[in-house]
Amino acid sequence: MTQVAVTSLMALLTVVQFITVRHRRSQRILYASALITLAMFLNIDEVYLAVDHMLGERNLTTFISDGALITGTYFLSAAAIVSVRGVQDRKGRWPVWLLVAAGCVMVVAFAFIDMRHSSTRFMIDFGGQWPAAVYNSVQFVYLGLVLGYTGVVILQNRSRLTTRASSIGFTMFAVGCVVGIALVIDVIGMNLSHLMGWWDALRFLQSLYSPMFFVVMALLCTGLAIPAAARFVLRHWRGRHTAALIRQLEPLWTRVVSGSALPSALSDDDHEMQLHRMVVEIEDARFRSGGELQLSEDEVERLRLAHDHIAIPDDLFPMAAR
Amino acid sequence: MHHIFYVPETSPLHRLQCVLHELSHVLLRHDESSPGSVGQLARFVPDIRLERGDAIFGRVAFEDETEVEAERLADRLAAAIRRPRRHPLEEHFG
Repeated sequence: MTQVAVTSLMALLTVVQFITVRHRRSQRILYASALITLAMFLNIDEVYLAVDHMLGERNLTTFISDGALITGTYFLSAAAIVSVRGVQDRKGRWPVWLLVAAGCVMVVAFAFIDMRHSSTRFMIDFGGQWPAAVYNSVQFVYLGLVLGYTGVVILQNRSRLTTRASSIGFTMFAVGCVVGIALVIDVIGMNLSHLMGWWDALRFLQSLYSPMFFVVMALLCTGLAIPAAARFVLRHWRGRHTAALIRQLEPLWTRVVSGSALPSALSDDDHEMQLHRMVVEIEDARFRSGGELQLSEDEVERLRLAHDHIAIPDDLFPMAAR
Repeated sequence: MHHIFYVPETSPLHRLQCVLHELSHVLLRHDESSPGSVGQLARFVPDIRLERGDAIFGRVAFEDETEVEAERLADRLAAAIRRPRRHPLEEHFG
């Protein structure tokens, strides 16, 4: 049930990231969401058994799912690091080298695990073997290091975020990273207890795993979805408002603007650009008329609303404000 | 050296468009391909010794291709200035 809920959350986040794809500078976050969704989806018991049956019942589905999870987490951290430090920064490249190293160790360790059947309880069934403990621990240590570093990068930049939605979303994401580190410690504790035969400790740590896993994924998903969803809603609302202003201004524009208008004035796909052009062309016509062009009170009010909508803050261009 | 003149008695948005339009001529290097307009220019800067090739651009009509280019670039510059400033994290995650 937890797995289905987490997969649904991740799928929802991927859809949000996909809808907002045009408005993002980099698509690393989309790759991260899609890969982590794939990892979660493959871990749903029914899906796991069906896929693993097709792959020869050798638990290769676990390997594919874990590979997707650590690669997706790498893209998540890369999105945060590159956005803050830039692509050229060499210090920020360690997650990719660590990903390669962790991947190599996991391939070797996986090859040494003695598996006789397909299992949806991979670590419960095979976690008593050293190679399985190494395989799982390396994977989770990688996740812990990368998530922890990503959380630190986000917290360091939190005060410079420009919207409340971003601030809330990224704070939730950073808290998710912190709980994620606790989850990693829990998993390593389970692996060690299993190897050593400390059954009481194993049972206690197992009882913590599912709720912690759900909390981590819920915080990460919700934290990432909030800024993207808020921007989508605001952009949609502003787009509708701009279109309404264009409709209101069109009769005035048609009346006062003649042959001097640029041909694109009403054909531009971007509503903001279209409104900008209409206002500029109306202002041009007023200026050329030398005060002879009379506007009704209603037309003046519509022009003022359009001006207010596309106004540029004085501090950005003080020459225009003077 | 480039000088940009604008009429202050219009709206802030119109002033901005006029300044960006003239700036666009400079960015698009229209002055380098212009035949020059020393006669017109002398009216505005009577105390400066002008040379052949010095040119004046005005934002009057859009029949001329260079004027259309400058106006289109001015529109894009205005859109870029208007776009809200966001933190790089928001640009990559939003």
